Amino acid sequence: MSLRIKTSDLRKRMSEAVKGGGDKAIEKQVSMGKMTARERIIELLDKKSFFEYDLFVEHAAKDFDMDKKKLAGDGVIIGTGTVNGHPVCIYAQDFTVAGGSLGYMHARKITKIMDHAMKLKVPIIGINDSGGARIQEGVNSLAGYGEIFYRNTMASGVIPQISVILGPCAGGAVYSPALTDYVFVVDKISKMFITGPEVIKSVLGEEISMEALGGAKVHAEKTGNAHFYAETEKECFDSIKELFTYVPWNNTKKADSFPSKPPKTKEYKVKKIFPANPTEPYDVRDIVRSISDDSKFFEVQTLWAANIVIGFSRFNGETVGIVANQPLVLAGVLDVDSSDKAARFIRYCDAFNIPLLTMVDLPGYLPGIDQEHAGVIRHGAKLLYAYSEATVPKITLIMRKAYGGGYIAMCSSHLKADFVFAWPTAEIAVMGPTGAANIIFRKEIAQADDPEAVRAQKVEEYKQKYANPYVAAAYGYIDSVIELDETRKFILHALDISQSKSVVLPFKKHGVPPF
Amino acid sequence: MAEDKETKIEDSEFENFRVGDTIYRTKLTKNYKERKAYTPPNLKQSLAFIPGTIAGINVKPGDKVKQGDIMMLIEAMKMQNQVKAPFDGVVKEIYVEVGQVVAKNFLMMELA
Repeated sequence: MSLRIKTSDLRKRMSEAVKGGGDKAIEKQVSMGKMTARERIIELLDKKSFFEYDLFVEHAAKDFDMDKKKLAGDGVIIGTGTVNGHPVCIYAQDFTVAGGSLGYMHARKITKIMDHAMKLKVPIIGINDSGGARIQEGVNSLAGYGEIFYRNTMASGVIPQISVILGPCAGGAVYSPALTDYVFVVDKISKMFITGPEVIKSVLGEEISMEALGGAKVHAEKTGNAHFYAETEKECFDSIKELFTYVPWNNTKKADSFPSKPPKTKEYKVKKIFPANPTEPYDVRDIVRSISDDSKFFEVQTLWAANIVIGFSRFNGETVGIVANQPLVLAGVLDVDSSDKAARFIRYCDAFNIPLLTMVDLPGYLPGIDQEHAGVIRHGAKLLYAYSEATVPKITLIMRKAYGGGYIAMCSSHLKADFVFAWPTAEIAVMGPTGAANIIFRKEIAQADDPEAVRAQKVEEYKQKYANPYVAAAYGYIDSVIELDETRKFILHALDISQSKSVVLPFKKHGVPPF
Repeated sequence: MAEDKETKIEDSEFENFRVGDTIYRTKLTKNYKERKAYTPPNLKQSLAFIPGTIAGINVKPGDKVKQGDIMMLIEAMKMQNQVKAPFDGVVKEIYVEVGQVVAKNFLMMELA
């Protein structure tokens, strides 16, 4: 055979393989409002940067007439390319091929590209669109999932792992995304659950739609399983690209530096946004924007546990992870979900060398039977653990209330914050003035001729004496009380001089955090 | 300036929210509003502790039961789960029959 014939044979084989499940299946995929697996990769990666491997991989299953079925690429596409000019490894399940079901060779392709990502120390992006295990392949498909979960765990904290849910992701399959750093979902397209509506109906007689059980909105708002919610696949890919501007390529690197830009202080005037009265709400994200480079704030998990805000900004061109109580929602209290949300983000930033800025304004923990019974002790403890363990530069800004356990948990100097700044409006106390006065002056109030007048007077006295930053500052628990307009200046300096911070933790295999 | 408009705070969207002795003005989340109210357990009411199918009923109204007697079987997750009497008492009412599918916390039987 001549080279020409061999080349044309290769081209023929390739053009067959890239068709995936064939025109009909592709038509169906498109009619559901979904891109094909290959289109998704091309849309997400930099132009012409995608190189594919294992295009000709086929399954070797024999049972249940599988030997008569040919599945293009065994239902998954793997390869490498670049995002924002940086290398990444990527795989995308192809729903047009046997419903993207995961068999032995399908899993082998995924684990191969994951192993590459670990060796090359580059991020791995997984696009999930699969009906689940390939039942015909039995225990081999279970083995495949297990091999993926193991690699997800080994890669955790070493390379960024991104999961994009662009179709069903059910049963065991959901645990790979759950083990990765960030899960992206798209409205009406993403569906995630352990047991689907049909099983739930047959076993329990409870009826629920896929969307209501495990749609994108459910995971973005109710369960917290998803980190980024988008209306369309295109919007989803844009936010992945934006996320990649904030995170380093692996745990030995720093995120990209950008030119420093001042905040847009005309749009975000801190003195206008911020009410001094501690019971009045405001959007803490606007405070972030009033001090960050170019007033940018890239928020993570916008909808879930909105009483705490997490995300990325830049200061002097460098990425900083922000954790801020949100007085706009539930007065910014800590609870089960907000503790989980913040604790995981803190550990993420610590794993990837991203300094932390904590912005404090909270009345404490959310009271309630449901919270206590949901284990707020165990969940709240995660926050203490994550902050204590983190060795990246830790800067804390106390804006208003920092009461009780909430004060300690929000990266106080006791959990080894490097710098704690407070605004003159800060109130650092063991509890709110009213509660404290009621306990301390209980007798005097009860015995007074006019208890209400005495109560009001004692509350006022307590406020005057203790509802300020100066008691804590007198003990050195606060490093500087600063004016609102000086905040960026202090943060920039603190970050600047913390660049070679190094802390040696006691030797251990690993801790035992309150998971 | 689109962002500015979006984040402008309308006072009407806020509710009073009490933490300790202080009332804060804030928004409430969907999860918070939908949280389940606590009800103290009532041992006299036998609720399905797992969703499943009633596989057997060993008692009828009026029967005396001793603590630990197996009153019912619920088949769930491929197991026959026993429903035991929590105290010595009398069966007051039975609300299920064999073969019936029950959701979690479904009231199956009352004791007196």
